Amino acid sequence: MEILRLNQISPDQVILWQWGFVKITATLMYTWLVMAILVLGAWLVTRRLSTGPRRSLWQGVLEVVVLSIRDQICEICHEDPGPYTAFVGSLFLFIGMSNFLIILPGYVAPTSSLATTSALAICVFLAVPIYGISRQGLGHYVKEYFQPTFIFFPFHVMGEFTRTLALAIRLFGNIMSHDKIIGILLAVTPLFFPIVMHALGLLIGMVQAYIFSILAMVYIASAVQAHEEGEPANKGSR
Amino acid sequence: MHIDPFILVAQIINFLVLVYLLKRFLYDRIVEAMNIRENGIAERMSEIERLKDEALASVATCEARRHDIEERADEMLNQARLAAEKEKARLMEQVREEVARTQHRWLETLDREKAAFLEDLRKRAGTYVFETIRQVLADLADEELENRIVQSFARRLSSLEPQEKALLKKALDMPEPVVRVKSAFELDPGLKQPIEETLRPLLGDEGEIVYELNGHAGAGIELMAHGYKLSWSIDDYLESLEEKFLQVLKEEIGTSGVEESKT
Repeated sequence: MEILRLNQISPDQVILWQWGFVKITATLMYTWLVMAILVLGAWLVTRRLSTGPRRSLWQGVLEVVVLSIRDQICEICHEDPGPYTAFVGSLFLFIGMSNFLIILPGYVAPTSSLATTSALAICVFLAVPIYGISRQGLGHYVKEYFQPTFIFFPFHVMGEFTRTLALAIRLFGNIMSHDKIIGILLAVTPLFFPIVMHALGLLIGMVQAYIFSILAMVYIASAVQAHEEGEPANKGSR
Repeated sequence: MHIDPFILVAQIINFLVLVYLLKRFLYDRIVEAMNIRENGIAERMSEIERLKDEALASVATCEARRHDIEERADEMLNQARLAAEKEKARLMEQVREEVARTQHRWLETLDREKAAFLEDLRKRAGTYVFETIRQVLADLADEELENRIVQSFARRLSSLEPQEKALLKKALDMPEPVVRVKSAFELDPGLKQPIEETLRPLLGDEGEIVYELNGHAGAGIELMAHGYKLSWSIDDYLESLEEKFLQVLKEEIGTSGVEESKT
């Protein structure tokens, strides 16, 4: 008896098409599916937006989602959420939709692939210095790595890498382990209990999406706000 | 666990593409729509605030006007009430005067009717009394009475006042004067004598005394001489008595009428 199918171990292992090192795996396919749902849904709803008091149900839903994202960002960075909305909001929507679609039979969340979570973590890893440098300049940003003394530089660099790794592993571990648990429970107790676990999986998926995007925003905000907090001190020293 | 570099890069690219597409088709559009709506709501709110301020100002103005109108209405009502009370008092006074006048007229009419009735009653009573007296005297008239009447007439004729006597003389001062003596009864020579004895000195010899019987003279005797007239009769006394009676009657009626109107 096959306890776990191949795609339940890792969607990266399910290769649909390959040409040299170029290959299309289940991870990519489901990623595109999630992207297609998000982009097409957004396009369908936003092609006829109402600016008046009356609006469609789906426009209302999207407005609530976007507004909630912006509010969360605003609570963390205490400034205009505009520059961060697209990046952090996309993180949340992508991870959330990926995890939400586990209710579909045969679907495997792309976030249960370490490649996907690593890709997202690398994006965050790159976004933090980009936002920091764009806000405070390269010199000031690099200077932060030598605060309070140069001895802390390796620790700062290690911190950057480890938190990126933690991001990737946390999301991957949660989603992958849940898939595994679901697979094992389906084999052992095929009635009732897997349904409860699925519901729990949905909750965990949403919580993980929230945690990932919030942590990403916290990292970005720390890079941006370090500059703003340091500025008055610099002005005072001058 | 193995990480395929191709998948890793592909997922990074996928995510960046997703960020771009969602920014273009979701965030920008939704945020723009929300901003437009928010601006519209803000404009409407400011318009509402403006309208509210205008409405409040209008309400205040209306309230002030209403207050003013109420004050004026109260003032006009008070004036109307005072005017009505004054008019009522005037009308009441007018009615009172009218009632008093009507009452006075009614009392006057009543008094007049009463007085007329009493006068008529007393006149009738007097008339009946005097008719009765006349009837009694006529029934009692005899020679003795006639003799006394003639004597009384002669005595009166002889004891005329100087003025009366002068008038009589003047009337007889003409040639052949005629004196007419009218009586209600036939004068026999015995009765004529005292008359002639009294008149002859005045008439002289030429004068003539004519005796006439006059039924209207009543129980009395009358002398007429060229415009002069002297008479004595019970009727004269009765008429004199009647005149006094009527005078007393009028005085009595006048006094009683005044007293009654006072009461």
